[in-house]
Amino acid sequence: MGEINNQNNKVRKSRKNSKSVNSSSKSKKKSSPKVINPTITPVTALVESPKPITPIEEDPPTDLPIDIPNNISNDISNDTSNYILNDTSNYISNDTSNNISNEIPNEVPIKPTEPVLSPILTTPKTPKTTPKVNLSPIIPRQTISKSINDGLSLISKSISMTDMPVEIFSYISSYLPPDDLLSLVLVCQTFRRLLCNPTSPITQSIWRTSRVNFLPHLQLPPPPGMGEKEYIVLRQLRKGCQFCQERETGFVKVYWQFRVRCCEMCLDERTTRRDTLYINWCIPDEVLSTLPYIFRGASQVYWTKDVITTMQEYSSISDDDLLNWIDQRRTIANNIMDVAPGHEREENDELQSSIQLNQLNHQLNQLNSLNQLNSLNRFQYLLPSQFNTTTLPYNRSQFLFASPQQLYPQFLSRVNHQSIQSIPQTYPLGLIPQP
Amino acid sequence: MDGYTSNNASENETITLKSSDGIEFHIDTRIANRYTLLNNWNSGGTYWFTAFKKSACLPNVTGKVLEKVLEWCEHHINDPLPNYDDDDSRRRNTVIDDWDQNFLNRVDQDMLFDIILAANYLDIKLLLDIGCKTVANMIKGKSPEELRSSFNIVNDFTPEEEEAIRREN
Repeated sequence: MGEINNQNNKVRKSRKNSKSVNSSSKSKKKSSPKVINPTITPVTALVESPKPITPIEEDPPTDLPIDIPNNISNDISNDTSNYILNDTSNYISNDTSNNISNEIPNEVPIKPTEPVLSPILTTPKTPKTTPKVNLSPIIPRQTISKSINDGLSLISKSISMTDMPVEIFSYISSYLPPDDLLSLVLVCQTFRRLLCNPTSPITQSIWRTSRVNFLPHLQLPPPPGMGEKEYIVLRQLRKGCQFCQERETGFVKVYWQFRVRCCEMCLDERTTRRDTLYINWCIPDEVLSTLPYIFRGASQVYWTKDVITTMQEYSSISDDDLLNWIDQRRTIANNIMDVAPGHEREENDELQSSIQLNQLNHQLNQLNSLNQLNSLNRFQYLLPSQFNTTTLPYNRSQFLFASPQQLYPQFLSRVNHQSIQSIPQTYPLGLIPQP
Repeated sequence: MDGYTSNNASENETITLKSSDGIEFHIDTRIANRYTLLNNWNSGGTYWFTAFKKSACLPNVTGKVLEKVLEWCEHHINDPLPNYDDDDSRRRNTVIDDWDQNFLNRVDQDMLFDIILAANYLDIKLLLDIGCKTVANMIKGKSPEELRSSFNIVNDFTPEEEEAIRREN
């Protein structure tokens, strides 16, 4: 009758390891006469008390504070029942004490005094138990576990989203697009620790899965030295320039060499041309060679902040390490420069497809408005050609059905037949159309 | 008596599962086979069935949860076996079929998490899948404030921290 009981309080964390083995005397399985198949027949030997049974709102039995010591296998089961009795005696009414050995959850060895246990359908051993009638799948919770739960509800809280094990959390988040993950980061510290830890492989894999599944135009791996989350955040073109919040997507792009997303104005403000750096700032050539650059017009430009920090490092480094340092930095810069075109291509793809989407939406809008066409007058079709172009990434459709007054404000005075009451008297007389 | 070895067990065989609060469930071996919930225990070096005669205790699953899990297993007992190789297509597909949707809509949030944990513990991939999908659908498209209120999470950021995170996002 050996009984092993490894149940501990942290079973959620180490579920697979905690096993409690029940050696019961249920050996004669095949001989059991009747089994209802495949219906689940929950058989309870445990309903013994006529107390009204109320539903229990939470199930914390994995946190049962009943720490049954390992050496309990040497004891006879009476001791075990006493142990549990003591532990829960606050919650157990007197009339249940006789039957308590039947209700102890799952670890208690069967009393030697019980002669036979029917192998499949446990025969109820208490007189008050309803025998085998209780086949409904809805099983009322037994008194004992209810009372334990009641006592526990004070100290254990119900499981919430933040208590989920990491593997479940990452499973759930594999169904979430990056935007929702970004919202989760802002919910609480637990999620933030899970999602904003650049060194953790779990964090990286969560973001990677989300990116690969939900961002069809962001399939390249992040550039060297960059985390998955930072990569996704950097490519949010719809967020506009990260310095001035400029939203016109046509002018905002990611400069992969500098790892920024900005508009051209901000770029020009924050970069410096190579000749300026070389001549005015006296930056040595070997420093410049360790930095990534882009071409603006005919000249190479460098990210000014990067130049300054690199220059500080350069001046503080000893001569012995200098060559090594330059070599390393140069390799990194070359790597960054090498992968940049690929990322740019992907970015352009996204831009193109968003333009196509806009065109599609635009055409749909037109179709939807077809029924309004009859009520429109002829002036509304006289659109200047630059408004008709659909190659621009932004949606200008609001111009299409604008009234002529909005489109041609300069002609307003000629076509305006409204009364002129509102025009101040000081208005130059020649410009006011005569009513 | 040699325990649980054959996969083509006859239909009349059952396995006894005992939940942590002592409720016993007698389930069809087909369910056990299908969801590998007991296969692994048998083959993985633990000798539940050989040693203990086809009855198993689940110390981490309460009767209430196990009942729901088995209800789900029972309903899906005749489904074609899913192909776990195409992991990708399974993940992209966030559609949950009607019965499962109803099944999970009837339970409250705590129960849903319990079911997910139980499915993970018992290695019932499909149930774990739809459970996680349901939670993901609950998360989708919500602002951080809405997420906090719908999952009863306390905001433990200081305003400065929150502002900093907002900026770096």
